[in-house]
Amino acid sequence: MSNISDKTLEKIKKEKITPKPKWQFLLKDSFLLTLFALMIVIGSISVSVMMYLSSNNDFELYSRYGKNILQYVLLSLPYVWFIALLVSLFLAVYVVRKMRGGYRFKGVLIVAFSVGVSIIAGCVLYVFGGGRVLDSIFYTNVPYYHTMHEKRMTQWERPEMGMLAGIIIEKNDEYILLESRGQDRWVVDVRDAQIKGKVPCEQGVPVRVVGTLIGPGEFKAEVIAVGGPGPNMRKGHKIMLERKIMLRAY
Amino acid sequence: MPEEISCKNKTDEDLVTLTLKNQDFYVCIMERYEGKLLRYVMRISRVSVEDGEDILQEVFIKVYQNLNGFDVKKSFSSWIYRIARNETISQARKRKVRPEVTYSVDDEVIAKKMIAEADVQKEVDQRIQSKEVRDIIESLSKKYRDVLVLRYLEDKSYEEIADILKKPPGTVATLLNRAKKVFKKKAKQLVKHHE
Repeated sequence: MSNISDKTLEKIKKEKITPKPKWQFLLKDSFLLTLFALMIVIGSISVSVMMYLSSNNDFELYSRYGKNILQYVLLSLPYVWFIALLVSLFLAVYVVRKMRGGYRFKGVLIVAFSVGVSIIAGCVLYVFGGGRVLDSIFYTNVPYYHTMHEKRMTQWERPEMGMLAGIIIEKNDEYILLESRGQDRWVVDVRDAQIKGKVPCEQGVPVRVVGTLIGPGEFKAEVIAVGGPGPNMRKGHKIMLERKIMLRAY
Repeated sequence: MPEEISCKNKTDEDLVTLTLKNQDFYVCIMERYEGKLLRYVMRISRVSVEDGEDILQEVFIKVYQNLNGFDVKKSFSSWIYRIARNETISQARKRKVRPEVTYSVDDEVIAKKMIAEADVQKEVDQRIQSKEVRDIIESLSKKYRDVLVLRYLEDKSYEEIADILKKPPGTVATLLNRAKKVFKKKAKQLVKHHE
């Protein structure tokens, strides 16, 4: 037995050094694998919500009716989800590198794989309505998430610029009575309006209206798009109402 | 009756399995790698023989503690070299020794193999002195020297180097090619300078 080997074995026996149990390594492997899966899930959620928000934007209305589309695009891009996707990709690379044998994969390959899986899973989630449901869940439960939609909603609170949104309170063939988020009531002339959207344009339904302000509380509609500018117009109403009450209290 | 320890005709992976059942078998692993690893530790750390032996002892203890984490489907040699490299860098940092591959004898060996592979045999033989060749090797950055030591002094394959350095095999190949290109360029510059 050589000197170093002899001394080392002696030290191992004297200090009762033992190999770490196998479960510790298995636990670490499982933890890293779970973390990687979580990053993919976050990536997929980001993709599905981004798809939902993009499909539910007003680009068409803006471009068709000559509004400032660039400003709107910049305001309505889902930055939060884009950042979430980037962070999940960065962490996915980090986690894979920490996995056993993970160093063998190039960063580009890990990113490509993660992006690919996130896009496929995100599309599936979007097709089954996951994007809409998740956006609504985040809107209701995550603090400050509503601020992302706030900008878009604010864009639809400018009747002087020809943009109005609210919930239909009453409706007949010629007019609708609309209540905006700020609880202002508007009489909207819909005689020459084109209606867009799959849901029927009837009482209780949130709508976005493009048209002209014709007087105090009166608006002439050119296009009515069914659906609110936020994930849940009624909840948006509630938040706005609560704020008003708080402001009054001050 | 105590089990008889026989290291003969056993692979590293067999010895790992046996060590986990009987720690006395660990001597077989240590004796098998002691010489190679001590040389490697000293090649990359510039420490004295005594310090090198201390580092090696720490390496062997770390290896023993992590035996259950070794994947028997992979190469044990690469795994133990990787632990040795990490421990050496960590110890060198603690001892404030800058890990470098600057042993003149080693540089000579690397230089000879590089000259043969970089296709500059004639020019170097005729016009460049061996000290200048060593200077070129020494001037290469650490990332290049890391792969050069493993390739030309430790005779490791690309796959093994990838496992030791924890880099993709493609990156290892790229590093070696770049090292050769840099060497060739510098050698040719020296030849021109002499002309």
